[in-house]
Amino acid sequence: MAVLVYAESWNGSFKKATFEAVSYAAQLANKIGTDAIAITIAHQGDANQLGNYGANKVLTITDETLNTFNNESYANAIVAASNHVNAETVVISNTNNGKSIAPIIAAKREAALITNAIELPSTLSPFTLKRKAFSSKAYALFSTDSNQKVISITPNAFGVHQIQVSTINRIF
Amino acid sequence: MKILVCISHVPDTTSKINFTNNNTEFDSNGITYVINPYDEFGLTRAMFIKETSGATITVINVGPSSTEPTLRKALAIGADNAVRINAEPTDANYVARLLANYAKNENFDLIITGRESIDYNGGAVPGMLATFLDIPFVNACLGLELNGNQATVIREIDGGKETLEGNLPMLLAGQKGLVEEKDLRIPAMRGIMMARKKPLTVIEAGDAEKQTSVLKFDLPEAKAACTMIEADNVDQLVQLLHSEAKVI
Repeated sequence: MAVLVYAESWNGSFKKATFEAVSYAAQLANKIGTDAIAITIAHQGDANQLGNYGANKVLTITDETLNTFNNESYANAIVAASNHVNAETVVISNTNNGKSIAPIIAAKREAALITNAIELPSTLSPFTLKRKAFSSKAYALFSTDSNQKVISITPNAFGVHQIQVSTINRIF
Repeated sequence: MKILVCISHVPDTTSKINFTNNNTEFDSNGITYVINPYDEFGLTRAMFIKETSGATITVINVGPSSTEPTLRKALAIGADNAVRINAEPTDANYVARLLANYAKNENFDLIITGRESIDYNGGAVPGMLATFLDIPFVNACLGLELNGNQATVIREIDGGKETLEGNLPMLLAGQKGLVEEKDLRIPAMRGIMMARKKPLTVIEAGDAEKQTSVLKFDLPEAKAACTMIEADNVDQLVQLLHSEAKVI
C-alpha cells in the first residue's frame, strides 16, 4: 500500500515540480501510514537527493529504450513499479509528460484518476481531494472509493517541503 | 479515411461560474454552451483533412439530449454524422469506456479529442480512450501532417516542441496550433440547414464503471480590495508590506 511517485527529470536534473510531487507523496504516505517510494526513469543524476523531500526509497529504472520519453513505455514502467512495490496510489506532477502518462497509468491499473489536485486528501476513506476546475474559476471536491488511485498535482499548488529521510536507491 | 472527433459540451469561456443545490451542481441558468474550444481545433483540423484528402468525419459526445445543439453545430461546421451516447459525463473512466465501446468496432483511422475540456479540465479521457483501444496516443498536439498511413505529429513538451512519427490509427489530443484561431469556422446558413438533415444517432450507455464523483464545488475567495499608495510614499508602502501583507 505504498505511495509511488514519478520523479520526472529533464536532462539528468530534477526540477521544482518533481520535488513538489515527492513532497506531496511523502506527506500523503505519512497520512496513510506507509512509505513514499520514488521512481526515476533513465535518470543519470543523483537520485538520493529525493530523500531530502521525503522519499523513503528510490527505484531507478535504466533501459536504453527508455532514454527517450514515450507515453506507453514510461506508463508501463511505472505500472510495473507500482505492482512491484504494491503501491495503491501513484502521484505524478501535472507537467506535459505527466499529463500524457497519468491517464494511461490509471487505465492500465483500473485506478481512479484525480487530476489537478491542489491539496492533500481531506479524508482517506472515502478518498476526497480538492482540485481545480472550470479553468481555475472554481474548485471541486472529488471523491473515490477505489483502492487504486492516480493523483496528478498542479505544479506550484502544494509547494516544496524538505524532510530528510534515509533513502535507499535501487537500480533495475 | 474515417475520423472520429470527440466533442465536449461546455459553458462558453466567458460564462460566470456559479453552483446550486448546496454547491453540488453547476448552475446552468443563463449559460450558453459551446463546443469545447480544444475540440473545435481538432474538428477544424479534421475538416482540413476531409477537404484535402477526403475523409468521413463522425463527431461523438457523451451527454444528455440537451447537448444535441452542440453536436448539430459540429455537423453545421462540416462533420458528416453525429453520435450521442445518452449518459451524464460525470467521470473520466466512465466516459472513456463508453467512447471505447462505440469506437472499437468502427475502425477509425484517426481519433481527435481536445487535450482537456474547459469545465472539469481533467485531461483524462484522451489517454484512457487510447489505452482502452490499444492505439498510440499523442497529448497536447500542436501539429499534424498525414502521408498515407503515416502521421507526423508535433506535441508540446516542457520548454519546447517534439516531432513524432507513427502509423495510423492513433489518437491525438489537440489544442491551439493544430489549427490557428483564425482558421476556426463559423457555420454558414447553408451548413446549418444541411446539419438538420445529417444523421444524429443516439446510443444508450452500456455498462461502464464510475470511479470518481464530485461531492461539492467551491468558488475561489474574492480578491481583497486594492490599496492605492502615492508613488512617493515609500514609508507607507514598506509599513503595509510589513504589517498587512507580512512579506517583509
